[in-house]
Amino acid sequence: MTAAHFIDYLNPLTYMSHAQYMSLWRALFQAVLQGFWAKFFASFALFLAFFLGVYRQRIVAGVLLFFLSVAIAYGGCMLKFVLGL
Amino acid sequence: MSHKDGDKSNDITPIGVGGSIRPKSFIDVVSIVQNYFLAEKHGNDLPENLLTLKGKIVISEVGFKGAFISGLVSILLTPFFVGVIERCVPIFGSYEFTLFDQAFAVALALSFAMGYSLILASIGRYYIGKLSKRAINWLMAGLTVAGVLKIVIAFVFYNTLYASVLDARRVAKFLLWFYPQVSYQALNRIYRFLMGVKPVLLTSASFVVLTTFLMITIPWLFIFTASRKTRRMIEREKIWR
Repeated sequence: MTAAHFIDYLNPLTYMSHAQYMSLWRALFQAVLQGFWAKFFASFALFLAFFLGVYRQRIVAGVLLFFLSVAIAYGGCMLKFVLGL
Repeated sequence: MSHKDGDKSNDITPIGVGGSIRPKSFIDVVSIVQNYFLAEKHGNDLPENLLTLKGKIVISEVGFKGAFISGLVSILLTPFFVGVIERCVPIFGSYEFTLFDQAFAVALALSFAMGYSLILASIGRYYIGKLSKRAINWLMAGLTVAGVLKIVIAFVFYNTLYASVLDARRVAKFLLWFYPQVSYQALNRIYRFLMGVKPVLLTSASFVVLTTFLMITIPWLFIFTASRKTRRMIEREKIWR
């Protein structure tokens, strides 16, 4: 396999259409940032933020997980607005 | 190895604050308080001036800095959380608010301030000796001052946004700058969202007062409970010895 072939292989548009590629990302974002899984991931991140930040006193990890929880909770709305999902 | 002047196995040399070792983070303050606590627990009577004025200020600075930063983050995020409770701001990509969504928004709104105050409260188990008590009091003084400042900043910030910055004409004029790069429909959506969210700012100001009150009182409750527990443990240790 030449380097050019390898680079082509890395480009997802060589084996799927633009529409397919966009719908894949849309489905992924909808699954992760909306509905049940978003609630599950956001709650889990908030729980972990308290567990690591307060109980284990790893403050930086706690703060980062808190922001991750906020990003999951509000990310769906932001993406919906920006990408018109 | 024996000492001529008696057994020194229990002797702990407490560190002075403010000199060469300047506490920068909460963990540094904990280790200083721990040092005082261990020395006082073993019956060493520490001189009161070991905690100098500079040391007190440095410790309260640590409490102030953390609480102030967490306060600023709370001020920026609170309107988004209160907006969910008031059904103006969507969460999890939907305007259909369930009880879970609103409970989660309340949890998010409270968690940053609560998290920080619970971290501070963990120092409560050392609230026993004269010097350790004094150091913790100064740490909490820093937290309280930051809390009061947070309330003032929140009120000024939210009311300025409500009364001046988010004035209907001003917002419309500002949004029209982005036309035609951004479509009129999108700009209209942003305008309607901002106008709908505006009253949330006033609720947020009151909400910040509530969270600050909790942020100040919760550590004290934990400190008193934890210190009583430690005292009981020390008394039990003395009986068994």
